[in-house]
Amino acid sequence: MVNIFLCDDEQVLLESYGEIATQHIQAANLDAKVRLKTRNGYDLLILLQESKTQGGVYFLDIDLANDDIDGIELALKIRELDPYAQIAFISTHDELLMETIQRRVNVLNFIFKDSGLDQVRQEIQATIDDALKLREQQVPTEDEPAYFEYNNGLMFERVALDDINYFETAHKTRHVFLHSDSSLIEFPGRIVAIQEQLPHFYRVHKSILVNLDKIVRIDKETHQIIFDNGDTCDVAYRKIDQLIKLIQRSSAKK
Amino acid sequence: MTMPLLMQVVINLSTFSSFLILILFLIGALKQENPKNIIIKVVFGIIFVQGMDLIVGDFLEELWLILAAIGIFGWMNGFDKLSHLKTNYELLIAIFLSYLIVMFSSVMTTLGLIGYTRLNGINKLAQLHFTWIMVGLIMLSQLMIAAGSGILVKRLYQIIKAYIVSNGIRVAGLILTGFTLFVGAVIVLFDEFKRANLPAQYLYLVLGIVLILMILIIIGMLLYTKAAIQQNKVNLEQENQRSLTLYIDQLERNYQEVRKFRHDIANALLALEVMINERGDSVLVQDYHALLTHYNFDTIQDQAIGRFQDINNAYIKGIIFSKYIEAHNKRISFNLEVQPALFKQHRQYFDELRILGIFLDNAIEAVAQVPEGQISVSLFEQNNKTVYSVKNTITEPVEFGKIYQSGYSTKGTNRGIGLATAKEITDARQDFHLILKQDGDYFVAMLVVEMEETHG
Repeated sequence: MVNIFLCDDEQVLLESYGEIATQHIQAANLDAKVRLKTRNGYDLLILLQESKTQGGVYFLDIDLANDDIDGIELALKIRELDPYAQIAFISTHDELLMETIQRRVNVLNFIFKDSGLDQVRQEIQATIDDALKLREQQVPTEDEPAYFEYNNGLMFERVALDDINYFETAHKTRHVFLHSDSSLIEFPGRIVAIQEQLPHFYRVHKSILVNLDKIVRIDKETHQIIFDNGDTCDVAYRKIDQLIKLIQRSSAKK
Repeated sequence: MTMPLLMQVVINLSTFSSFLILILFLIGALKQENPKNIIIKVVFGIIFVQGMDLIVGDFLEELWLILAAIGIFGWMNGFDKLSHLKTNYELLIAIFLSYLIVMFSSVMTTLGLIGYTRLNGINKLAQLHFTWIMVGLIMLSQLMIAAGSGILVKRLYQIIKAYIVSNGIRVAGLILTGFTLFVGAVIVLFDEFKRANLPAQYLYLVLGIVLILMILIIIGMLLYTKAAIQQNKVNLEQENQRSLTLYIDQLERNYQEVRKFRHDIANALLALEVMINERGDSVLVQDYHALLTHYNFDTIQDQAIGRFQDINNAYIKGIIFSKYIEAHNKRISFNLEVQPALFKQHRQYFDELRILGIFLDNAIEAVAQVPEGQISVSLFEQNNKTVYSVKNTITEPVEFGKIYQSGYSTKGTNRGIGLATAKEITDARQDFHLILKQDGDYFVAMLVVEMEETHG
């Protein structure tokens, strides 16, 4: 059961969103319900603290006029309490800082009031659908997590394991580089700790932890591993044979 | 020196006349009138000075000389010109300079005399027997030295004049004061020297000191005027900057008002639409929609300009602004979002600037050929870290494996060194972190900087 939270300081709009959401849930027979409609951000936080909901869907007005807390601050606090929260902002086009918000909060959708009621209705419905879909993908399989989760200093992030090629210790202390197909991220962490977290990754080098599934080729002469996207990394000489055996074993499994 | 009075007078006359003529030479008045007139005026001047000398005595001699010089000048060019501050300064400087030259030439000549007496085994100058030939030689020597120095000094004088003209009266006033004090000291010194019968070593000493002082003062003056020019430039720039800031302030304020207004209107309109729908009156709903389409609210496309004001550091503002202009020229849509009061106003942010520049250059190159391409720059703070984020639309997926290799670039060969450099910088600094990722149709480059622990 997915909980939906609505927050807007304009009563008329608040009711309207509530209706749209409820109607859509009934019509599409979704496993969700509108948990809270409030004009006040603090109410939402209090409820969240008490109920300890995880993975809720939140529709927030960025410009909450009658509080000290504005939409962005509210979103950050929600994230602290519910790291799996899916947040959509309802706002006007002129509320700039969309880019900044996206960097800070990782927003599911922006819904624009000035597009008219029909548009808003469609957006809310689409957002609820997307949220439910994403939530299903979040459920981890039994043995291993499907995602590697980390804190990049700004917020809690995660990368699909299938995307990760390897981890490499950074030049500076206590930081690690994550090399994936679609990103390169420097974050605070320790290779040893990550290795424990991900048993299917192999430590080919003092500073390199490799995803066995992503290896395309091993070049023995230059002792390099080549990945699908053209990226390469070093292998410690004495680990090469062991590595080859491991790969053969795991491909035999498949 | 005990010289017959007549000889003294003759020498004095020649000294005075060289003094006056030098002044005229320095201010460039010599070319203006024909020699006859000049001679007449100079003679008058000399007569005046010598006369005052005889009446009042030696000690106010310099004063009479100055008065004579001013008088001649006024006579030649009209006394009204003396009211012009600029001409006054020119005249005064010419007077001082020629006084120095005359002093100098007289001292050199005296040195020559002392040398001559030494050669002839005479100990004190006072015992020297003066002949008219010697008088003639003395006069000649003085005139030649004066003339030579005069030409040299004229060059110097022109330089000084140029400085004063370009920097105004205040600077001139200061220079003049310094000069006056110096010359005053010289005058007093030489007067004392003339009265006392001091041996040659003192002369040498004094001369040496005077020369050194002169050089030092001239150097000091030059340095000072240089500094003054610099300061003027800086002040001018600051003034411009202030005006510009005021203007941008006003622009930003107007812009904010409009923004708030539009926001409130949009809110109200949506609420109104909900209420109308609840009425269930289909005609009313139709009319309402018709009304909205009629008024066609556009959103402001280019909001970036308003945002620059929020960047409270001139260096960061500068680099983003110049890239903004570049993007604008290439018809690239540039979105800027900045948290106010994010930076320290006077810090140079050297490394941040380099990385920001690299990100922006990459973004501009990537988007330049793409129609509807966008660049989005975002500067904000979170969890005690400052974040510099540059996002741009991409046409093909980025190959993260090769992204740091020098030479890799989706834009062609021989480019792509930038990110490698950026990584070098972030690797070297414990407080810099680099994050690159591809997010659907966008590529995002972020620099995360830990903020220092500052207390208070």
